[in-house]
Amino acid sequence: MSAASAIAPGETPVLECDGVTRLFRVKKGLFEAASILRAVDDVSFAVRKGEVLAIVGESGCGKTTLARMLLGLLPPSGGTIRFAGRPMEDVGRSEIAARVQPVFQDPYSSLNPRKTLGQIVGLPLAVHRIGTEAERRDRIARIMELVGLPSHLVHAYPNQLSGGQRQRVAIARALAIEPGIVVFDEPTSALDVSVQAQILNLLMELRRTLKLTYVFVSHDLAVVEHIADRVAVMYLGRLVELGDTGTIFEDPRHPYTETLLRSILTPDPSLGLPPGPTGGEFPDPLDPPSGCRFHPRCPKAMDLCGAVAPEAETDSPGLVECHLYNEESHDR
Amino acid sequence: MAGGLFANEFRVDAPAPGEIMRRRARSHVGFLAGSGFVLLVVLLAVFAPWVSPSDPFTQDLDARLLDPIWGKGGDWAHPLGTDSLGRDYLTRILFGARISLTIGFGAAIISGVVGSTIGIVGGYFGGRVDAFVMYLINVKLALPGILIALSLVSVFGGSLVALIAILGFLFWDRFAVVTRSVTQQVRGQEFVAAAEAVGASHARIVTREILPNVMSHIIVIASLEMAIAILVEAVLSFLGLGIQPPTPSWGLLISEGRNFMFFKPWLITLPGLALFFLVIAINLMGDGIRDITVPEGRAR
Amino acid sequence: MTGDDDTVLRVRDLCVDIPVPSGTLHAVRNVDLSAFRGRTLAIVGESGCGKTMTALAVMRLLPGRATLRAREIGLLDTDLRSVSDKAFSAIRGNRMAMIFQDPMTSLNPVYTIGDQLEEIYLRHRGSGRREARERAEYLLGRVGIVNPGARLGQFPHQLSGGLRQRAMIAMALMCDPALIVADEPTTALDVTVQAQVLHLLKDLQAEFDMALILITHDLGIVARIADRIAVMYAGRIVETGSSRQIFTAPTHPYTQGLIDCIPYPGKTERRTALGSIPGIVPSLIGDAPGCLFRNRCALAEERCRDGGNLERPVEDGHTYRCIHPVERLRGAAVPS
Repeated sequence: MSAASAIAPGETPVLECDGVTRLFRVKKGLFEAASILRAVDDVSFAVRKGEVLAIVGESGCGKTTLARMLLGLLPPSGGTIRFAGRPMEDVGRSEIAARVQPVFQDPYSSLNPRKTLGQIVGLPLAVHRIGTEAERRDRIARIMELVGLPSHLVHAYPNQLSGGQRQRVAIARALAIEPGIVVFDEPTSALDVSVQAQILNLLMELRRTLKLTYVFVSHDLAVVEHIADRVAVMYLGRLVELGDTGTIFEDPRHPYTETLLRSILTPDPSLGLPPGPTGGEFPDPLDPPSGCRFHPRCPKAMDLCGAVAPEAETDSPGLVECHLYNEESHDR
Repeated sequence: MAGGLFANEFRVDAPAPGEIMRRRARSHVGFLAGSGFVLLVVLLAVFAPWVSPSDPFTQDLDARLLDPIWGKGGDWAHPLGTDSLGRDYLTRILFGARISLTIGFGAAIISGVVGSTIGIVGGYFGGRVDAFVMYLINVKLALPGILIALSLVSVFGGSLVALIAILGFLFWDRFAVVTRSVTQQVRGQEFVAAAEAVGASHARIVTREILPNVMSHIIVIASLEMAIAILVEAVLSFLGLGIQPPTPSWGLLISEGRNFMFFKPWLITLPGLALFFLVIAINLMGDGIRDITVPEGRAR
Repeated sequence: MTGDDDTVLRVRDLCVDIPVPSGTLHAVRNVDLSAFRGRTLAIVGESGCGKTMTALAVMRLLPGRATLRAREIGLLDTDLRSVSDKAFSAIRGNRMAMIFQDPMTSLNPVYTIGDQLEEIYLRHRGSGRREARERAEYLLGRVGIVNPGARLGQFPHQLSGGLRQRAMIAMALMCDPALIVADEPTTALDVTVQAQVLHLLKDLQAEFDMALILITHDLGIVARIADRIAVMYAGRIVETGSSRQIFTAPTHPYTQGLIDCIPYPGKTERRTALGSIPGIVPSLIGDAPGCLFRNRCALAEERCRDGGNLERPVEDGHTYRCIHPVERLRGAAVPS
């Protein structure tokens, strides 16, 4: 799709989504017919080598589903995911693993409580049969040092660590087979702020020294603003805006992005609460609104918005999917 | 204990999971009593030929139905008296423990392997596989277990191997139900997704990531199933369908004692008590294991 | 104790101890608090700092093993320490109410929203069911729930997270309490919903002239909504002051560190290292003389082992517990 290629001129993106869609069958009650949830709906974007691409949105927007598809944990229902130009189906399970690794949100459930840190961090090496026993031990020690864990902890168990230390273990495991890309799913939202800062600093440093590419899924816009190069905003399964972090934060175009940004609470006592967002509740994802999915909550909604879904418009700042920026839809 | 002025950031002050379990085990009265008694019975059964005063099959028709030492004419030659054929009753009971324990362990291992495999496979793969597993479990639950055991035993005879196999294949449903639901829980944990993302095979994920987290549940059920198998064997043998004479099974001893119930009640009470205490001890041990292996709460 | 001023809650020297296998865990140490009518007090700190235990102690909802000591816990003109458990249940939900983080687990799934709201009113006011239903419907509408009459008949799982939290707020308001304690009321909510719920809390507080104690880890929320702030660390209040005082002139090194930790769009430079507090919270088990922050503090010195517990004033209404105010950090000469 043109949307994907236009934003990454010149080089092949390390990771690319082309019209990626994921449907789930959801059964509400025992006797009700299953309905279809479009968790991710026709999403296209490209991840450039070495960048931090953040995917933001509220719960139910599809960002976690998208992350799982990027990791190869969930096959898309439609569309293609490509690694360095090659479709995921051709790449194969074990090579996907070597290219992209996850760090999850919950540092408690992401580590097997019955295993030592050495076993956890060494899992990728064991699965891929990399190196001899001694070489693995060395490598585990090196990675643990890299993420700031003293090497004597190899024999410790997860329950002996704090949340921040556990998250370091999860990062070490992800880095053990030296993937080019790390997908983070809310990596700091379960952590205290002081620990969050430690982990964010570590992530920024690791990216610099190891030349990593990050896909950073988060709902915390202040964190995203700090760490991301580009931001993709999702709403009810749709990618509604994508652009450079500076552009998104200083000059947001999609009304939903504006709403999100207004709700960031910076610690400034002189500001008071931001004006509450207009419009009511988050709609039922099983029965999304017609036309533009944001229109019932949108302060700038026009008659057109409820009737016709806007097309994604790709231009120099990035991508936006809104009738306000879609000249053709006015003419049609 | 705020530590030194610049305390090491990485103090490992929580004990390892193994150590936590050891500590809990040491202070769990029920577990200590239960497992202590079970261990005692196991040792007595294993060393029965050496610790028992005589041979379980040697009859002495001159010394039939002797009272235990606390009864009239009790004698240290036969501390628990003799049965109707003059065989030493203590010896018979000690050798009977061998039968009970073999049946218990054997049936629990077979049903554990069968049931846990079915349950873990269903819980791990979900979808159609799980639907089939649920179907199997439901069919099994609808069958009258004891009745089938009775009919199978009457067809295949009451050899030890046949009993173990029949009991093992009849009592796997509880393993399947529990391991299936625990596996579903563990399956949803992020460390399983992390192992998948690393490219680990299903076999590896099941055996290395999931099984260690399900194992404690399996052991707890195994202990309960062991107790049930021991009781069922006693029932079958009592009915004459299980272990055949002259092999000393506790159920058989009770059955043989029936004829003398009113004037030599210890022929029934002694093996009955042995059965009772062994089953209680196994259940105490099982409950203890459950308490000891409950996962640590999240660190504060 | 008099109730003639605006003080709604006054807590002096509150300590909460929890026996654990390896000793006594001092969850809350010598905490002083006051909450005033129409004002918001925010208790801010990281997990395990004792902020939730403080709230639970005030509401007498501490876990069974925990013990509580205080020189004073006064709600208006009632000394809560001398109130029996039975009499306390007539106060809780009536004159003071609590809002929890997770509205799903604090609402009973087998009763309708209406039943749960009305039950509170009936229990405390003993009035008719009609009146209770009218009040429930009015309050559900007041907290911004569209079509409140229909919502009364619904069960908690039929409501979205935001709606459930609104229903919880309505429930807390049923008996027109003088004090509301909200423990992380918006942490489980999405950001846009969070803004709405905070607005609602603020509006209702003015309308009902209540004191609000807001417990949170989120400095952004605190800065925007609180009148007074108490920063807790390892069971102690390490600094307290007005919102402006805390954010423009943080004096305890921990407060300063906490503020430096959070990314601040427009202020912190993108992709640079954030300030961070090294190390982890010390064990709260056993007696701990001296400043508990010293193992993580850049300014720590030998004196911090035994000093640093005393409360010192910066200016009117702004106090801190530290022997070296943070000016030294901000100045050029940072001790290495």
